[in-house]
Amino acid sequence: MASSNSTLAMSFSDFPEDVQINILSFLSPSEVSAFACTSRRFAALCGAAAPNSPLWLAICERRWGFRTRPRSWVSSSASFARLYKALDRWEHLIGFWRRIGHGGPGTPHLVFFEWGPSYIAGSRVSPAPDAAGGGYGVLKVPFLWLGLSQHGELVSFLHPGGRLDSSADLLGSVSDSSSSSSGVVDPDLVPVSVSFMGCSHFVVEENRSYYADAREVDSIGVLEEIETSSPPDRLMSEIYQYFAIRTSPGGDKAMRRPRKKERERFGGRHLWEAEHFVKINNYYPTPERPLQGLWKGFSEDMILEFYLFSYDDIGGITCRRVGEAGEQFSGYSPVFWTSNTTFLESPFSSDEQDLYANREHICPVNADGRKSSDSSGVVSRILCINSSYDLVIPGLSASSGDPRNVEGRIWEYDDGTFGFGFLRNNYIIDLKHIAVNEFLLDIVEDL
Amino acid sequence: MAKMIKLVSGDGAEFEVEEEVAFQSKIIKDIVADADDVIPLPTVSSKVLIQVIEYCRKHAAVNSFPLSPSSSAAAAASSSSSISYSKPVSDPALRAWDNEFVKLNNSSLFDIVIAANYLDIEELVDLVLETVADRIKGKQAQEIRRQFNIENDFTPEEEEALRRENSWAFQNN
Repeated sequence: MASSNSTLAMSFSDFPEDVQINILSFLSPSEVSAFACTSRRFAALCGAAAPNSPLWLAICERRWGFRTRPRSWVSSSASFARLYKALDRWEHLIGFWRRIGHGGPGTPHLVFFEWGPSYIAGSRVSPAPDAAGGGYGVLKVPFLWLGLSQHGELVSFLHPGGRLDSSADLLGSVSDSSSSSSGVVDPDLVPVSVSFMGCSHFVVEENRSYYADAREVDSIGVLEEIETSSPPDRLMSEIYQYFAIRTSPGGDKAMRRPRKKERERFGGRHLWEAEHFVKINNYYPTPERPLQGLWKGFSEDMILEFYLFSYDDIGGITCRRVGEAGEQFSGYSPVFWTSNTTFLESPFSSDEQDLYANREHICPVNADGRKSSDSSGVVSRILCINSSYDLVIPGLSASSGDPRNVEGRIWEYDDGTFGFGFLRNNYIIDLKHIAVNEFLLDIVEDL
Repeated sequence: MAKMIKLVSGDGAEFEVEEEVAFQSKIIKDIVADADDVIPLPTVSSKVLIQVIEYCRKHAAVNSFPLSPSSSAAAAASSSSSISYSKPVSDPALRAWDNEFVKLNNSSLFDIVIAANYLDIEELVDLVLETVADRIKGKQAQEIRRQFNIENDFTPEEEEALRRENSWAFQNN
């Protein structure tokens, strides 16, 4: 019993199974496949097709257990290897994307994907109206959910109206039977498909075959083979009953009913236009790129706007506004570009100090008329901006070739945030983070 | 005065260690709570126990001091990046020490896996399990068998079929 002499070489097979699983949970799928080929016992342990595989669950837990609850994504008979594939594919959605192309007027351009316990949720993010949340509040309205069906298929649903009390109400949690499963299905839910075109672009399109496929399957008469149909959780009982009806004997009669139902739902026309999204990489600054990221601040029009600062590969920094203003740029309008990335360090010349001191920080005014925040942070570094898009875009500003139009400053504060402004006026637009560590800040309730 | 715990290995050797070192093992911590300061560990040999104590001593010393500014910055940076498979030791110097510590042959490494698992020393378990996993990565089945003394009980036909089936299922896209 005691391995005191180690004359007998210990084999991997001698480890207790939970230790083996723990070790193998560090491996990637292809490495697990290689290990599966070593012996019968390990082929069984590593098998991807097996339902309830403790190894594949451990692999999912190790990789995503911090972010979501892998176990609650699937029902009891599911293949965890399929779960791995789904999570691996959809994990890439997490973060910020911006909508490109046309879209409903007033639909926010910025979307944010985050992990839920048993799904991934996408929300439209927009500045909150009426200076809610101390002025810097944002609205986060969930509109897209991605999960797995009973049979391990990827399913996704969209809510065009976007107004829901909570994602939890909608999808609930498979493992939590005490959740508010009122059994009511939101009739506005549109089944959609999410297709990646490369890794920085995806399209959300209505999945009109969501119900049609089930009909085809029915003609073969095999219930168990339904591929796209089963709902992700028990809250969608109406859809579930629909398929139960469909597969009962009585052929035509049963099939006629769902067709009518589908017509009632869709009215025979497209409910919803496809939307395209492009990834916003780098939404947070790094020590080498302190200005990089998604920020929010009050523009000269006293409106909260979102700004995206990115470093390009020719050594410049671009600032663009993400949002409604500038529809002609598909919600992504340029504000300025600078090729200079060298900061001035303190102590600053008296000219620079005057330039800063004489400016007004634009910030929201709260109910009693006082400025809601004291924005005179300590300036740690200054960057000179030497060009502005406003000069070259006709009609966007009263440009006259005056060099002061193109010149401005970025004032970096000691807390890592910064403000910027142009010499043509006296304002400073102070910026704050939109999100930290995959959490959106200053979320305001959508009433 | 640091409280000392006495550990007795499977072959009868006795080791006195400070309480905070020994308490890295949840099992020992629980046993001592029942008011017993001499702990027999019949399944752990002296050789392995010495190594485990060395690990616990090193990690107890580090855990009792707050992280240095540079290592906490590294921890913050890694937490804002993408998902990692396991929580890494954030202090680079300690990580380097750990890497040296696990430079053992498979047999010795496996002994520590068993001991750490039995004694329930969380960080050591994570370390050695991941080390074993690293030794599996990138290898084909035949070499894994050789390295880890796994007996091949497939017929050649079965093995070929399995290999094809698995590689199809997990082609990296």
